[in-house]
Amino acid sequence: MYCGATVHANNRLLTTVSVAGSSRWARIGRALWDDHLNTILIYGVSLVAVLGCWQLAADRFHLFVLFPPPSTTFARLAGLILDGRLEVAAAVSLLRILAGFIAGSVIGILLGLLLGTSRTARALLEPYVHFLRFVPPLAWFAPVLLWVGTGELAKVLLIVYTTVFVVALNTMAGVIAIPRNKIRMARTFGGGPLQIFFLVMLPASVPYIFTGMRIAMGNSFMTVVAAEMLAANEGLGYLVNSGVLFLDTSTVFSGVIALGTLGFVIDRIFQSLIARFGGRFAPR
Amino acid sequence: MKGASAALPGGALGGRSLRGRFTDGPRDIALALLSIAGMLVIWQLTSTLVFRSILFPSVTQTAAALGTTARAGILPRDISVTLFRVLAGFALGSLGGAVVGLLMGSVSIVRRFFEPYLNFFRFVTPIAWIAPATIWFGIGETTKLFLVVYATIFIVLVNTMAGVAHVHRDRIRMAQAFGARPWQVFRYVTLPTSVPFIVTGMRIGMGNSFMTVIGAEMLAGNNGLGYLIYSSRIFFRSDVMFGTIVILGVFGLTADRLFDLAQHRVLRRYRAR
Amino acid sequence: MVPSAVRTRYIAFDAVSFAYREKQTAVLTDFTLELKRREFFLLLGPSGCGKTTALNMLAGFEHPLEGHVSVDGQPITGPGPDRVVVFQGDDSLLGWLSTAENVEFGLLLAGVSRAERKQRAGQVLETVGLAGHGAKHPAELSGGMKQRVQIARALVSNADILLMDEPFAAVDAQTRTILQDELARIWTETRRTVLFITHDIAEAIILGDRIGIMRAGPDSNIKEIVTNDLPRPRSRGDASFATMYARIERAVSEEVMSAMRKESR
Repeated sequence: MYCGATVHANNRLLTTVSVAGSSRWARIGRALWDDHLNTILIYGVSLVAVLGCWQLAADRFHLFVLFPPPSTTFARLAGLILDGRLEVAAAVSLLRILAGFIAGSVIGILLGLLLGTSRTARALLEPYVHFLRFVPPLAWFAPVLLWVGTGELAKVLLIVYTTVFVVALNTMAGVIAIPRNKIRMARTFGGGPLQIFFLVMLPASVPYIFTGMRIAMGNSFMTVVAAEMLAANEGLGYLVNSGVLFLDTSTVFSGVIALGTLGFVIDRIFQSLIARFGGRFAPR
Repeated sequence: MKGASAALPGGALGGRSLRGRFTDGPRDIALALLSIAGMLVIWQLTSTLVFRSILFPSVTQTAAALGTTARAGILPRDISVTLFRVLAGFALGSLGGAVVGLLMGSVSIVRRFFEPYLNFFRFVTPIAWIAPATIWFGIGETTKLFLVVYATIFIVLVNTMAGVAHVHRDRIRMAQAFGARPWQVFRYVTLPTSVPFIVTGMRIGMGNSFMTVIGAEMLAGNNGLGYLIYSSRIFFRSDVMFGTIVILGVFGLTADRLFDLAQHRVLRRYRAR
Repeated sequence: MVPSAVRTRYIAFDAVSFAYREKQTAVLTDFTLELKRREFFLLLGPSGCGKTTALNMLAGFEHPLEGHVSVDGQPITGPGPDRVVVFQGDDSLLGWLSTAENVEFGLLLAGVSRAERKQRAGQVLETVGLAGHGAKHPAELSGGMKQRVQIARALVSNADILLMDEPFAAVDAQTRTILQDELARIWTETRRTVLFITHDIAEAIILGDRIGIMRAGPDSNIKEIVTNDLPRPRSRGDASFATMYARIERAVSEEVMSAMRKESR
């Protein structure tokens, strides 16, 4: 991910003027300003500006239906949270994602480890992994619906599909990236293939596995929402869709806000996982 | 290649092709072809002998369906419609993402102003917007274009910003030491360094665009490959479904390979490190 | 009939040649060398002369195109716990394990019990001067410390043969001299057979009993073997050190010049 602090230091077209000879408190204050308060202020100004314009525009152009103002939207959002509908919808969607994601990740990791270690397996299986990876999971929704009906299984299977290939390919990349000396070292000490597999290859691939899982999670969100819009009667996708039917745009917006927040939080979790374990488990 | 492009959100796959320690020798290619041939045979046999249901088409049935729809003009029409949507939205989204990304990466006030929205909206899946987009623009091309642009712009933006951040401080200092003005630093140092990252973002964005277009066509369309698949469901035409899926896979694969080539060209020329 | 005297050789390279499959030129040609038990042998030469290749063949990572490499008369078929390796750089360390666990890794693979592993690792960490750092992870260690971890890992396994591939090359100059002196001291205490690769002449003199000077590549082999009988512990400031340095330097710079000429062609 891009590093905000680096962008700060490297690429300021607007340079800050440093004040020489200022007092200690002035310098501390300036540092605080440059690092944090500055940012908070701009965030604040930005939010106020945008929300304000939104509210004014909605009032001025009477777009209550097409583009409800923040007041209506947040009121509706609060209502949905208070009567529990939003939580239930979020829980249902999340559960579907988790079930498919966990299953898909496990299969993907094993597949990726296999592809990374065995050249024969790679030659045999790679064509399928590369081909299927580019077929949008939603395209499979139609056949899957025919085969297993419109229940939970259809959505979970779709998520498994979404997850497997991305995780497998990233895992495989991780195995390939393992420095040769690690394997040689283990062989020097008499390590057998299974020992090398579990004690060296698997741990060394962990950051790549996590990266693959992070991408797969994002894709799974996309897929589940669309699947719920097509064939479900619960979940965030369904909630958003139901808003369309009744031209209830504020519900639609609420659903969108919920989706964005959930996605952001989950991605942060993955990021911190990668930061925490990735450094230690890095192939180097 | 160890450690190259480590900052890319695309992870290990975002920046390089998987040419690892295993070279693609003739043996590997032969095995791959053997594997595909074997798979096709097994598919054909199981669908004609074992399952024998309308829900599981055989290879020949799938091929036949492709032929029929092609001759009837349905397939070419749907292919061109889907391709147009993907390409148009992708081009617009990439351009917008690159421009805004360069801007946000370079000018920190702009970046901090838009950052909260960036971090929020990029996690909202494009498909979720189909509801408001339908309310605003109806079920025409604009809706789908909007969605594809949305799907592409954020990922290209984020990758572009990563590219700008990746510029080594020493290079900027070097240029400044030679008397370069800010716009010259941008043009001769920042921009070339960012190009590989932009291309990487575009590659990922292409995948997103595809997914979004198919979803949009399934949900709110009356033509295109996504619509073709989903509408076949009503008539239990699994052979058409499978045929379309094959076409989608071929497109996706081709597009990705083209990007892979482009990335290698660009990496060689601009050599981000 | 008088039976001919049978010499039992320890480590032997017999007319070994090696080339990479894709390349036209051979790295080593007619490379012959014998190592004695418990000696510290230095392989010295310019970059690209194939010294790492020779070590890799003894380690079992590569196989000779012609000729054989053998230990006690048995040809080398692959890596094994009797020939332990200290690699250049730190990428053979396992970042997710602690220092102590890294040192114990060879013992873990061999099935040694937990208690014994801990005890032996603790002892050898003291020997290399890392007592108290056992719980840290490699990422928290400096370059010099990481190389000590590798040495500890090599020592704890009680292998007879130690192969060291420019282990101090990536370390800063000051740490390097400290590590050289420490290694010399440790070796005097433990007396394993060591094949050590370097292009640093001073390092060779501090450490080695015999110093094999290699020709510049390609088609390289041993040009000359110099016996180093300076008494240990050796000091870099001594006159005898300087004499030996000058002698070796003459031989090596001919090869370095030759290598540079080949490069610029």
